[in-house]
Amino acid sequence: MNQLVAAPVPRLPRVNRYLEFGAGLTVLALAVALVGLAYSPYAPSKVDLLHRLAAPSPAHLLGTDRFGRDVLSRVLAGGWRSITLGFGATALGLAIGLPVALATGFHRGRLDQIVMRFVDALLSIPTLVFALLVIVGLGPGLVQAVLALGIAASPKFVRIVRSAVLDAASHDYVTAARARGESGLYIQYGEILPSVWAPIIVEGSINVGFALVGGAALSYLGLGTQPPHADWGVMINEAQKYISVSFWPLLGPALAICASVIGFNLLGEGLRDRLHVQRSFRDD
Amino acid sequence: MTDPLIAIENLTVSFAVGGVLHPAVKDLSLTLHASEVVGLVGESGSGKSTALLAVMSYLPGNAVVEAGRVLHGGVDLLRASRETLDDVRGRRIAMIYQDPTTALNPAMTVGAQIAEVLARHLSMEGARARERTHELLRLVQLDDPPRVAAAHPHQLSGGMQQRVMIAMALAGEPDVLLMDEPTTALDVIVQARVLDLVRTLHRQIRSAIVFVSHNLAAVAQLADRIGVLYAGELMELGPAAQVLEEPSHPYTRGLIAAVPRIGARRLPQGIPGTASRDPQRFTHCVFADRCAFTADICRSSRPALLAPSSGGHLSRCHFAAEPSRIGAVPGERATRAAHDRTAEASPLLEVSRLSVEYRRGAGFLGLGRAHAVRAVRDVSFRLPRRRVLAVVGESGSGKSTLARALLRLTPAAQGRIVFDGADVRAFDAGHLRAYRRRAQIVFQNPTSSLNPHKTVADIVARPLVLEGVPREDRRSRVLATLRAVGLTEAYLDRHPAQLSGGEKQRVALARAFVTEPLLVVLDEPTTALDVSVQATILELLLEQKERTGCAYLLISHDLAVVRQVADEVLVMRDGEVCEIGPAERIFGSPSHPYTRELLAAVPDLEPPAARNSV
Repeated sequence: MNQLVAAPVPRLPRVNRYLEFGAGLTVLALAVALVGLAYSPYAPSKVDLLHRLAAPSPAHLLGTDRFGRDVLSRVLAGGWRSITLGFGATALGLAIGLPVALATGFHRGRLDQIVMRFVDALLSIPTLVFALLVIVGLGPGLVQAVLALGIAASPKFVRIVRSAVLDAASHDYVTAARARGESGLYIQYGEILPSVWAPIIVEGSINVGFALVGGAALSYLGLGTQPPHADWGVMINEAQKYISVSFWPLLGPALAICASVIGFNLLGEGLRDRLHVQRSFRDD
Repeated sequence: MTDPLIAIENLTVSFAVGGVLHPAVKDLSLTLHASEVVGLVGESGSGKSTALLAVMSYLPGNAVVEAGRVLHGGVDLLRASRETLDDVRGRRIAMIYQDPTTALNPAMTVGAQIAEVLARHLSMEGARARERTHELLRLVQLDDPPRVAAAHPHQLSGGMQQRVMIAMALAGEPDVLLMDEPTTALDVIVQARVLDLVRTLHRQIRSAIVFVSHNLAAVAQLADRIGVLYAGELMELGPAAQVLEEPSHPYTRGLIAAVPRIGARRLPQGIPGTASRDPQRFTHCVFADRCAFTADICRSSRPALLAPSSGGHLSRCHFAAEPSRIGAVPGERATRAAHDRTAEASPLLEVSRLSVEYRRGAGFLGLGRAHAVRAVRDVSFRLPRRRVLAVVGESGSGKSTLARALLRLTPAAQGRIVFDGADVRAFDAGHLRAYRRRAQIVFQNPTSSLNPHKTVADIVARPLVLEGVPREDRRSRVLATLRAVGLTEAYLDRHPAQLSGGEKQRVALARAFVTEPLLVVLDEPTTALDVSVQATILELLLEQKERTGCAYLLISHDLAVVRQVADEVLVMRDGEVCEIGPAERIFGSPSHPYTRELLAAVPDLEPPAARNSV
């Protein structure tokens, strides 16, 4: 009988494994990037032609690449570029997406309809293809890759944040703010923004992982970080040509990318549970 | 006496939250006999819903039955097998919920949902089931049953949906109907009709009913016996007339005094304080903290249910047998001082021929064919300073739209709004901001009107920031206003989630009053509150009016509330003014038939039979 609906069961607080595990991996990735800025066992570009494509050994914990460079040193040294790609692109995506979402969600009306149809059109392009389009205009490089991935991520943030804004704007405290003569900007940033932080943090954290992979992909394609500088994508690009000879140079950067992406995704999912955010729009 | 249909014996139910057991119902014993109507009254958190769910054996997963039984036909429902319960639920005992919009399945037609019950419990299929469905819909007084049966829930009004719920509950021909606040989500006329229907149905089919409500007046319309729940305990139980006319528990007396009465211009009296949630509260009288007659014994020992008089009347009070110890039965208390009508000052707000339109169906970018729907049509009134004008009407009558248009939250289509001599519709952005600082609004639901991410101090101080009050002065003004609404310094750093409903509404009032506005629009300010809190908020509103000298525009569908505070009343229906005039005349000798219908719909504490005979 359909009218017999049991009362909602309040969830007992339980240990949030996703959150703990995700946060652990995230901290590890950040630690790798920070340590790499200051320290590496060898100079990351030190060539040692006698030990090319070596398997792991006490001297080279993750082996060496085709020039005999220490893979661990390069993973450490390249870490900050990959992590920067993830965070930089997410920050840029939010910086573009947030004001648009607040303005359209708050004002509604005709401009909202036009902007949102435009956003829908952009969303139909896969994020990485969109980023490639932007790179075509900007040229290759680390900064350009951050810009491209940030711009490519922004439509998604507009969509997600706008739906949270619409929900917050339907509350009487927004009407109350209008009724006491607050400016539109204050209502958007003073009243609505604090109510939409939860989905922003969740989606932001998941997007860091996504942008990190996207950045690695761009670097792999030669459009992001430029050799001889290392980042994890560049390293995979260089190592995969010799995969039939030795897969050891591939393992280090691949593990680093996997661990960081899984970390940021689990962190996001864990935060979603913790902050009680509804599962929202995802395009990837 | 025959065996009861349902016997609840010493039921104690707790909820496990964070590893701690929080008792929701304590030692509840209650019987329900065939064709009897028992009303259970209590405020939010009193355990009345938990008690109902226990009877259906529908307790949520974290509920723990610590003691007691619920006997039905010799079976303890709390320990019955799944199969037994499947045969009892819907067939022997059926439940009607507060909100039909969530209790009905939106994806199925009404007829299919009723047929489902017939098939499940009576094995009735096909043409016979269809016939029976129509019969049931006719029984709940719905016209054109075939059309209603073919409709989806969203195509029906709230009142019709509640009738469908009742028809569905009756489909299994149960012996017992459990009604959980069945009229609370409805407005006053619809509520009166549903109460009428339940009364008529009860006469026809004689099933026993447990009617749970926070509204003592609604319960008084139906119940043979009334039980009063407070903080999980049954405080008083007895024949309806005795409980209502000779209440022997101080809490029941407080509740009765808190109900606004349409028949009398008497300010309802609130009960100060809030109900205790302390898991250890049952070692003494749970009402001791709020009771005006507390003695030492009340704080040291738990009172038993005593019989102050014969006839099955019970009261959980140490002084139940000594009625003189707990004061007089609430009678007609001091009436509110009548206004000095001679000082008719220039109007603060003058509205002439105001119309508000909504555009519907404009489609993408407004390119489609739009048609205007008039929500408010040709409304005119004057609101003098320091007066209260009440706008009353059912939901959809346009009263809230009118309020929003007055504050220019919704654009008006035609007409004039003159505030303090200036034309509101002609204001530019700067004047509009200044106007909005002098005209404030208080909403129905304080949970929605207070930003959950801000502290009380920030919320109340914000209008002062807008006004440009320097930081040093803000704190003292915020504190003074908080004190004026009955809150203390301790509340400054709290967030809305840490406050009770009444406290939240006080904060919302403080925010409205902190800039000492000339006009405050009150949009159903007490509808979302418990009755004892509602009374204190009404008192507070009148106090604030005296203190600040502002005028109120009170939007309400509750005529009993309006009766207590309004100087003038404007009755709206379908966006138009039905009747406008001084409150005494509207309540004393209403001239419009719709006003008379509205007045007749308000439930009062006297049972209907008694009222007719007077």
